[in-house]
Amino acid sequence: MFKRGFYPIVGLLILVLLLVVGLYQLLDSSDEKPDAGGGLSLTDFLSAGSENEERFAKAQPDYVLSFPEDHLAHPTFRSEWWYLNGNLQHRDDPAQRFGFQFTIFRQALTKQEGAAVSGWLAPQFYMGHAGLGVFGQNKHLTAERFSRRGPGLAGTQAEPLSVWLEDWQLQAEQNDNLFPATVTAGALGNAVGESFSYRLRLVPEKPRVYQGEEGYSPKREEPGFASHYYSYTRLRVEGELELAGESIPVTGAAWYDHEWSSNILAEYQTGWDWFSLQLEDGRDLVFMELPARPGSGKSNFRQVALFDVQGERLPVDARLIQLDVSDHWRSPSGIRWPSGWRLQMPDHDLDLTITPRQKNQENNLSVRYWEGAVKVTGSHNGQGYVELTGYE
Amino acid sequence: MSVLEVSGLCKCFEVAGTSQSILQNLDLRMDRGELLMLLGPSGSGKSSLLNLIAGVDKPDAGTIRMLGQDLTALDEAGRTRFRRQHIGVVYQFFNLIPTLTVLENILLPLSLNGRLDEQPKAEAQLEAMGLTHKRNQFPEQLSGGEQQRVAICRALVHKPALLLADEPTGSLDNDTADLVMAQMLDTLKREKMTTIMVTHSEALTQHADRVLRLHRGRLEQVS
Amino acid sequence: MIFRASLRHFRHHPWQLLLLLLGISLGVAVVAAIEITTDSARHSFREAQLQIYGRATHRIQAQQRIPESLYVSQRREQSHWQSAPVISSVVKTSGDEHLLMQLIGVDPLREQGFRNQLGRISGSDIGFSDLQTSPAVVMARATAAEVGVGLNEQLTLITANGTQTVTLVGLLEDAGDPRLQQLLLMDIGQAQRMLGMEGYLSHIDLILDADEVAAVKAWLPGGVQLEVTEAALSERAQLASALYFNLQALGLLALVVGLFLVFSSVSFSLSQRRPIFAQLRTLGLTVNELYRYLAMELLLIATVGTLAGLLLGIVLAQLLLSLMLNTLSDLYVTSPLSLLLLNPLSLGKLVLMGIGGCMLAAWKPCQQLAHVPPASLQQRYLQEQTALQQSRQLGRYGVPALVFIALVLMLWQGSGLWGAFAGIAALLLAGAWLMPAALTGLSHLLERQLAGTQLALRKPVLLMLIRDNRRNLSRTGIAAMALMIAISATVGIGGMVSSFRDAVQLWLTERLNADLYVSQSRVLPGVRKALPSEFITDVASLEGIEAVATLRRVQLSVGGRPVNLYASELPQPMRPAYQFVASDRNAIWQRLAEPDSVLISEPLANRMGLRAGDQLVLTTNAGERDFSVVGVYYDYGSDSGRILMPATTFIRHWSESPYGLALYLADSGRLDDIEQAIRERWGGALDLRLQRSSLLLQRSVEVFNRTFVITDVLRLLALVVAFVGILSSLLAIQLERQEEVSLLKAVGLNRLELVSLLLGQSLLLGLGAGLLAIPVGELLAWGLTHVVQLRAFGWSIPYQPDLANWLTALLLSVSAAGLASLYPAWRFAHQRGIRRWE
Repeated sequence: MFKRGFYPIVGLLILVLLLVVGLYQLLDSSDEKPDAGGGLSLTDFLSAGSENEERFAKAQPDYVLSFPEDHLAHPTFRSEWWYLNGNLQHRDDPAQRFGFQFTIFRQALTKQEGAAVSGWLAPQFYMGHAGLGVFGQNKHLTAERFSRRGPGLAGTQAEPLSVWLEDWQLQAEQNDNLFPATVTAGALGNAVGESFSYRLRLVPEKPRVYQGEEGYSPKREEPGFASHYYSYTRLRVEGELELAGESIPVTGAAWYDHEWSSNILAEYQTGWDWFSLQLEDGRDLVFMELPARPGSGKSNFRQVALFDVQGERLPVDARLIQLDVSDHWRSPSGIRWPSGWRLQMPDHDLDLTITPRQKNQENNLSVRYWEGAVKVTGSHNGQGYVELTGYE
Repeated sequence: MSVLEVSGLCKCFEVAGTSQSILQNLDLRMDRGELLMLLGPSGSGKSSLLNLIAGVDKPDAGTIRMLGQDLTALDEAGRTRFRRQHIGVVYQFFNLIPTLTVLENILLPLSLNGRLDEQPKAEAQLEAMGLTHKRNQFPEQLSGGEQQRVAICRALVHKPALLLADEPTGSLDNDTADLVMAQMLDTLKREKMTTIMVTHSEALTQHADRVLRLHRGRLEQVS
Repeated sequence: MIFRASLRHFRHHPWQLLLLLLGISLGVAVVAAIEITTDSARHSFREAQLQIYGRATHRIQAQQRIPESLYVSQRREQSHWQSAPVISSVVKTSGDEHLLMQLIGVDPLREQGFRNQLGRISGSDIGFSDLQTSPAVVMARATAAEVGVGLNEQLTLITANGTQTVTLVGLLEDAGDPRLQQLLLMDIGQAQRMLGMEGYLSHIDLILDADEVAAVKAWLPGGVQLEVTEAALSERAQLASALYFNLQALGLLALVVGLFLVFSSVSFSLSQRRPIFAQLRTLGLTVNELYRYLAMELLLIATVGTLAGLLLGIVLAQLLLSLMLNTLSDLYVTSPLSLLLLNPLSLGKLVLMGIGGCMLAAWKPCQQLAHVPPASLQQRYLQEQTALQQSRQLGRYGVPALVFIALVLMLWQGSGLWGAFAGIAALLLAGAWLMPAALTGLSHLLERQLAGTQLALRKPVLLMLIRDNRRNLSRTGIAAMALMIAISATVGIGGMVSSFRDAVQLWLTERLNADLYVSQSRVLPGVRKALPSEFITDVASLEGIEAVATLRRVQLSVGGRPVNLYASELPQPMRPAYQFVASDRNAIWQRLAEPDSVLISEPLANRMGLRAGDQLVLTTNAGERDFSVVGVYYDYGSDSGRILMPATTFIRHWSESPYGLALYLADSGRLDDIEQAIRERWGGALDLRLQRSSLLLQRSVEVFNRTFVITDVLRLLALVVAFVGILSSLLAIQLERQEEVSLLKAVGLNRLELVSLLLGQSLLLGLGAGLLAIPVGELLAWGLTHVVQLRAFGWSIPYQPDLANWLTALLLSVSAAGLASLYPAWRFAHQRGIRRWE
């Protein structure tokens, strides 16, 4: 019915309308975008300033750890973590390998004033990280959560001994011994990736061991900067993974650390490389190096401990240890991580080649670090976990 | 005694910004009972002249005297009052008020002049025109010829001093036009009506007492 | 070429173009104003609610507050349900200007995905600990400026827990966004402590998917409920949504009137140009070419008119919005935010509606014009004959059909609220279609009275004006329709409002039958303090008091909407306050004495489909319990409904203490003495509020009247549109009558007679429209009160025709028509009356 002249005008009208609508939505969307969490939540926790460090309790060389109390939180200290890692394999098919990590961090925002402050007002902030490496599929799954201590949302308790952050928890079977215990973590509807969870029973194969001097573990050359630190270097693992709706029975060996302190890295320190290795001959090795910034005039700080089959600490001269990086890997986030090492300890005839089970074991969470299961070959075979921080 | 005395009449119209003179110093004098026919081409100002004489419009200069009254000295209301009493008008078409019946149309001048007692006269006139049977019909139901005949009745019913007829049969077909015109002339003669009739028809001029042509804003005698 | 001819036409008749545009613009403007206003009001409310509820889909809540241990259990057992704890309370700033603010206590760590305001805090140096360690608040920059408090300065708040001091530590960059301007954010721990709510939460917000909902329900212990927040969001806007609905209906009405206007303007502008088109057709223009041209021209005009209307509508909306929000703030405690929302989708819809409506309205006249053979294009008489015939046909077949449809829609319950409105629209349309016939009838009637009389002969103008009405039906008919619709809407809505007002007033008078009401002064809206029991016994023992009724209240959720449950001893003198739908009063009062018996209000009964004898499940302190409904009473206080039970029943299931007393005196004359006695004995200890029922009544009526101001404004707008319609059609008639005027002048009609001819004609038209508007308006009022109100709000209102309304309708109609004709009449009389046909 309408010819020339009509359609162009109608077309123009529609075009103008669309433009107006589009423009409006463009303008509108700018303030509708959800702001992630707000600029508020993590600042204190992740970039703790040093100005009020003095107000927190400090690790004392003469402090004697006592248990079970010291399994619990030490709220007068600024930071604390309970940490588990482990190499796992399918119960019925040892070729299917997995690695798991479980960490609950505690951070005090201000010095806690006695027990008067409770519930929501307790300045205790918890962060949980869980990782699961599925090495057959080159998958590295992670999950993260936060909570304040609040009226029981996160924390520790004595009866039964447990550490929890919401439904992630490490819970002992007895009141006076931390292990045997069960660790549960994971994420349904995970914000940072695929859903997964694990529930693992941990049985100690060796007694508790103390890092540093009877659990007093210096972190720099200068005196007074240390943490309290103890470990269970070998725990037998039995349990299940939940992966893509499938339940996988697993066995393996795990490592437990609990460490608390109030100091942070020195100005000249950028992070750390930390190795926990379980050798097939029954020895366990922990080696930590805190590199000094080039040009700072300081040297790298090292901590090392070697335990025999019974858990007895063997004397080690840290100065003799030689660590060389043999390979690197650039993650999708752009960081060049060391990804293969040669560790030599001539005084113990150790010449170990340490290879990640897979290169991608980067924890790309609020804090970015590499936390991965490794295979040990060379003079001795074994397995372990490596943690790398401070790389950019 | 003259019924109408027009002297020095001027009328200009604004056309496209310039003033265009349509009537220039025009003089006219009419005696009682005279039938004046006015010729002139389209746009020569015939209708303007009629409008001025009827008092519908005001001249730019000059005087129009009717029955001794200077129309140009009257205001709008005064001219209207004068018009309803003393002037009858028949246009080429659209003469009748569509919402009034034939009889009501004819009675309108009487009603306006408060002379409704003369109603029998109106009916007599209607009968004379042979339209009594249509008295209660509306103009739209009449033929063109009938409409013009009613218009003539209405223009004459109150015995005006002057009848202005602007091509009264101009819109009718020839046969009807002749018939209506014959009736009209007959009536005019009988009533001794002073009349100015605008026409295009040379043939009609034979019935006129006087024939004038409007040319360049003035009236010229046509022999 | 056609364009030029047409444009010149409009240049010579600018009025026509103006009126055409005005018709479109006004119609669109009214609809747009209402659409934008209601949209904005709804949006404002929603945004105000979003600040409190965030983007949560569900909410765990109890009657009052919930123990925080429930939240801890949820996080420890079912952490994958996304949840956030909330403390929420209304607080007031101290100082000269009390500012009501919504205090929200949150756990900033859990806010992600729920409320995003924290992301707008200016400067990133405010840490978690700043909020947690001291009573610190964050508010919008604009609000801080308004309150006059600076960063790190102290601010005094009046809370339900007394006066508290907080420090302003952060400002939200509101960027003029009023959504943030009533918000006071605080850490949950500090909020708990400040409000004295240690160990408790107001509610838990949840973001759940469909599968999780059932799991959450199964997990929850008794005494707490999982509410859908969509319901929570809309619960307050529920009555409002019925109000929006009414307004929208009014807006559509205005559009219909506007489209009538367009229709008449288009018909007229076309008929004016008939000679031009006739010539063009004779010259060989095809029907389709003519069509295309007309469509183009209309599209242009419609677009310009619609856009202008939209702009006008936006301006109008700004005015209406503040009116509307006042209304809503009167009705609800939370004050919504004034936020004009220009939703491109609804704007686009309005544009399409305006242009589409114009095209639709113009289609008929265009089609008629295009299909008329060229020869008859010039004949006005034929045109009128057709119009007359069409209106006759409409009157004969269309009107009964429409009335039938209207009755079916209104009487058949199943058609719902929209059905009711459609029925009313059909009724209006039927009235409109009847209008030409009614005008013709009126004109015939008057003519018959007048024709042949001396009066008619002496004043022929009278006859002329009466018959003119019939003659110009194709013009005036539509104007009369528009006027009739506007007036009948006025009558209808006026009738509804006055019936509603009478009903509410009667209800209030009955309900507020105590001599004195006593409660503690409310510091904050919605927060009622309990009266001490020794106060109650003391007051009851005062001399001269015949009966005391305690008043208790608890908010429950029934059928997904909040319902207030009231309880009282219901002493004898209080009982006349309740009128029952089924009227055996004594039996009902007797049965109410039985355990677990309740009375419910009519809206609740209608909403839930309950009748006396049915069971009603209510959430008590001990979980869900069955109660038996023994009676349904009239109530206009809440469209969600209300429940009433004896205090004895209440005490068994709930724990709320009385918040108020209703006192019945043996001798009302002693009111002053009693009031003074109470004040003397307790005035020092309690901040009492003593209210006489007469005062309460007066205040309630004021609120009611304010609520309906907006409908008055809209009625006025509809009238304005109709007014323009009459003006334009009369101008049209005047323009068309150039020749007639010259004839009338030649015959000797003076100006007065000419003016009275047009004025009289217009007044007659107004009279006709007014007369028809009365029955149509009454039908409308009946439909609105008996059908729409019942379906929208659940309450029935006895409809009472208001004779004063009739008079108003006639006066309005006649004076609108008269006023509209003044200018055309003046022009009519001053036309020079010169015919040039040479």
